[in-house]
Amino acid sequence: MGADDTVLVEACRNGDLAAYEQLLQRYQRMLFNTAFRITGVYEDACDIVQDSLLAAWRRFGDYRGDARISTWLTAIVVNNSRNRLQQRKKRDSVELYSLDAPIPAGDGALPDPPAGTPSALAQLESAELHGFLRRCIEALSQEFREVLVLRDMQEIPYQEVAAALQLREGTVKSRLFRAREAVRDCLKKSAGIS
Amino acid sequence: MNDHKEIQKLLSAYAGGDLDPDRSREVESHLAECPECRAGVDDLQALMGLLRSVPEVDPPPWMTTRVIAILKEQQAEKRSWLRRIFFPLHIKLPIEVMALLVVCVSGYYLSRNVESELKQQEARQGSDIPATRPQPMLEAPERGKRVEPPATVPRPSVPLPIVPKSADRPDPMTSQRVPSASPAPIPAPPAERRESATPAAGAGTDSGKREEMFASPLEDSREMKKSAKSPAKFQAESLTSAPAASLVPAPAVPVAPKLKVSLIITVPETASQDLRQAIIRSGGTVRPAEAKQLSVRQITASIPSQRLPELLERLGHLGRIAERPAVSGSSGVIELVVEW
Repeated sequence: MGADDTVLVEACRNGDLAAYEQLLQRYQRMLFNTAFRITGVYEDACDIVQDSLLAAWRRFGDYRGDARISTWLTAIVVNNSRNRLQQRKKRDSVELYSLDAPIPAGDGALPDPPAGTPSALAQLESAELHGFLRRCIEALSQEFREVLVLRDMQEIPYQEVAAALQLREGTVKSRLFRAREAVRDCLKKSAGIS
Repeated sequence: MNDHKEIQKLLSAYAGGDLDPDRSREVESHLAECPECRAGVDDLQALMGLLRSVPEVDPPPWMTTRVIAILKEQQAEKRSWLRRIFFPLHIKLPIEVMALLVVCVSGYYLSRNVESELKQQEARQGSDIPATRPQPMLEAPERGKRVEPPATVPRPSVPLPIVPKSADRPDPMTSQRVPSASPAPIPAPPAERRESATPAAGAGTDSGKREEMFASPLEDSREMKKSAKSPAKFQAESLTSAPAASLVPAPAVPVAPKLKVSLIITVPETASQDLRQAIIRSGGTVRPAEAKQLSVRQITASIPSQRLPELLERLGHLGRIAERPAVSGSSGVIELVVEW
């Protein structure tokens, strides 16, 4: 935690909203992208971040300072994202993409199986790849998606990911490696290039 | 083969640079021999590059502002709850209410004082202003001639009848200001009209008490302030009693020794008022009652000596005159004590 963060956190504990505003301006982008990448819906991310920041202000007394303030805020956002996904799942009971299920192509036909050609992903256009990538990430189960987003997309250190998700570092790595392989395979299936 | 499967499990960690150096060297030696694993590592590294290249989305610009606004609102609500608990009266409210009360109360008293002063003024002026409506019982007042009637004033040939007081008849005592020679009815001022609109307001009051009340204008105003009576009642009383104030000042003429008249009154209930009326009609002035007079049934009056016979004649209508003073032909003012 930077010195500035320490000062701001202390001010926040004393009820200084101006200090909290500074903290939010510093971290809101990272928090918002975390929520958006986990849920995949912009509006949901807005609600999640807003609720999380309001809750964080109310629960500032619970922050002990063991982790960075950004990690603590991230943990709240991830937790709220989980809740939102569960609500959504209950609401529309739409089945998410399964890693085991075939990935439908744009025209509804099943894609060709992966070819195993080296650097096959590099052959795809970036925009197209990002589309596939988003769908493959959404197809991951929640616990794998969280570690992938936090570590590989948000580039948060293992230790902090473990702290935010309240997991051991080994568990985080294990889930992460499996998530990477799953997404890689998903992408190859989606693009029909593997 | 076992090595190949084991290495494949490490490829993800290797691609992310998460392996310790020994394990990394082991993987690298395998990759040199295994194109499939090398392709897998290439794909993983491409994936990680792809994941890191995904553009970030911008949060809505209102995010922080809205959160802070909500928190400020919540803080204000929390403070207001605390204030409601610990400061049930907001400090501004009592000040505003007190200011309003001060304005209302001072306005009320100011209007009351002004009104009473106006009434007094009207009453004083009214004694000099002739009556507006015909009053057969009364002689019309004449401005400027209050105490000393002119010698040429024609006396009424027929004595006025004594009319018993009733609630629907104006009090002649209150209506008559000044004795006058002119019998013609003259319009009364507005104060007089109001006076007659509240007939007999002071009819039941003791005459001595009334005279005490209006012994002086100062006492009058003091009495008004002290009085807990309603303004309307007070006004009525002040109006009905107003003429008495004009009768109080003693004439600045030599006063003769007191004469005494004893009467056996036919209607004792209205005797005091009827006697006063008779004295006033005869051009006399009634002195304020002394304490002993209140119990003795006695009135002290001053009357021009020329009009004493006229008074005696009027008193004769009220009852039988038991003791009659001698009528002298001297001029001046006679001090008269009337008992009954």
